Amino acid sequence: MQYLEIQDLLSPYLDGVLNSSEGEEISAHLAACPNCRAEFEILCELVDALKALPELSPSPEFSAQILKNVSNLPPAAGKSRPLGASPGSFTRGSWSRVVALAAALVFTVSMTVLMYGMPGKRENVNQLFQTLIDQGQTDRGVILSDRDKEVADDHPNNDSNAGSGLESQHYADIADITAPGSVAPISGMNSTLLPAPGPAYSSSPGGEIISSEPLNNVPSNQENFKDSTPGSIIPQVMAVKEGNISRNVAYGNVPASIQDSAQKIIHTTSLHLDAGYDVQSKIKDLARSNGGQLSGYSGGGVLVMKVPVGQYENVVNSIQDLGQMTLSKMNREDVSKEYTVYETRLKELALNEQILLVALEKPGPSPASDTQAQLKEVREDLEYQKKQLTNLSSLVEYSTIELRLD
Amino acid sequence: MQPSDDILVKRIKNGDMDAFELLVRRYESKVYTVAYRFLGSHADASDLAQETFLRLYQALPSFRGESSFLTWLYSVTANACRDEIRRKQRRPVVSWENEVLNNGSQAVSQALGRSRMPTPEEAAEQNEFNELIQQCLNDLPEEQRLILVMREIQGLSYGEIAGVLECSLGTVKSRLSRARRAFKDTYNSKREPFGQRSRLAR
Repeated sequence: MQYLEIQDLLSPYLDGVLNSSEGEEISAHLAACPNCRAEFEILCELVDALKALPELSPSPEFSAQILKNVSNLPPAAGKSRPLGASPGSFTRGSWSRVVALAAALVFTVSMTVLMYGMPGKRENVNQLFQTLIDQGQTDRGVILSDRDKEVADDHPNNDSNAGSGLESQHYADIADITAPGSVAPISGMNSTLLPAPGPAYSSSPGGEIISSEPLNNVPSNQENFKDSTPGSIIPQVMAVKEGNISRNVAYGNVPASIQDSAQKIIHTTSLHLDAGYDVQSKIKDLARSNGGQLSGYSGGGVLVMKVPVGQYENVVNSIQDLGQMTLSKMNREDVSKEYTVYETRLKELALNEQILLVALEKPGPSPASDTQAQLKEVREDLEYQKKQLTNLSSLVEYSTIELRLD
Repeated sequence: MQPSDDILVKRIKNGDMDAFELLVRRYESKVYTVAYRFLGSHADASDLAQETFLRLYQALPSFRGESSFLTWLYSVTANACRDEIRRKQRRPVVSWENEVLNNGSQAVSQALGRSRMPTPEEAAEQNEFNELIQQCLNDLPEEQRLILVMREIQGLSYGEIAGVLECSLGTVKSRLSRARRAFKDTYNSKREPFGQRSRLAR
């Protein structure tokens, strides 16, 4: 078993969920390798530390408050009334939703202006939204709204995993009650108009269903990565102000990964090379010349390198030329779903930012201080989501190749 | 004898609010703790736990007992966490003082009270250590925080986590592995000031 593989298996080993042969292999390795043993011990201790965190109690008024809120709701046995009308569900955050709704209205007006023009002020508005219409894709929105629908209709077929722990029905139910007063995000163009970073977005099965559409177009994935330089994905997504936002407007909530049919895969490969001579420096050059680097040397003749996904085949072929190569393991983890969630979120946030900026420039119904606060929040969230996506995409953009030399 | 969850659920479905109160009291600490571990602040945790119980109440008519009530409650909680974290950006947490003020003595006695009463120094140290652990959690990306909370705090199985996240067991395995390593890295980067006192100093 290879070093990386061992590292990956320590966590499931700790939980006792490995099959017996894997488990035995790890046990044997741990007995022999002090490094991995130390690693494993610290993992165990940290897990124990988490488990040992004390249970906390809410304030004494907690349950009374819940009962008070619930008493404003219809009886559980009764037919639920529209959730937006539930007074009890107005907890903290309801105001931000109201503000968000106001922003949505502002945006609706803006979009109307964008599409149909506003007599007398057209020039001004066009200037504001120039970047939005650069690509002239607004009419594609209609087509994609239909795609939305198709995808949504596929929903039940994509639920296969849901049964593994909880009944799929629950997700739907939970999602149904998720967001008092919010709009389901997958209903085409309108969903783009929902600026609230609200529950509806994240909990909606719909949002994830789209991304769980089977996408097997791996070659096109490689295509996409060919011209991508490290880190280029983020600037691209963050370039919403420069044009990507128009895609969002045009596409509604359809994640880019569907549009591009690009799967986001974290590739890990273990190779064995029998070259008969010292090829370490050659490998190093190989990694460098392909835009990668040696990211670790775990000892015992194992090199770990990270190369851009697009160069992966190239690198493997070149390694093959150096001697007798055998492939011992290839691992692909599909993170398209996670990726799409971040990506969609980023677009949404960038759009919100635009909306709020527009709202700030115009004397509107919402006081400027509210909008300022919203804007600050949106920007902070934007930064955070960006960081998340950067982390993930750096994992996706580089294949890890573990090379054992003899 | 306390009525079982299932009986309480049945009674709630028939409009029995006393049963709901019993259920809330039975699980409020669990839900609250999960919310706190996930969000890292007491004010936020309280709001989120409130919201979780409201959701729970509203969703109860559709709960048909296919899974255990607790599992279901935990999935509602986990979903609420997921929704909440996206609604607000992460802020620096001021939970240490809070924890000491609100829950400090209780937390400490629960953590260390197994064999004997801790000395004040030990209590403070334990508190500080727990706070460090919490801060490490706070610093992780949301997906990793969520999976760690589900696994280590809620004690969900791999299968149950796969159910909540709607992904495969293999994915749970690798994500959890990544999250644990990230947690370890965060811990290592933070423990410097605590180095002397840390029980995990290498």
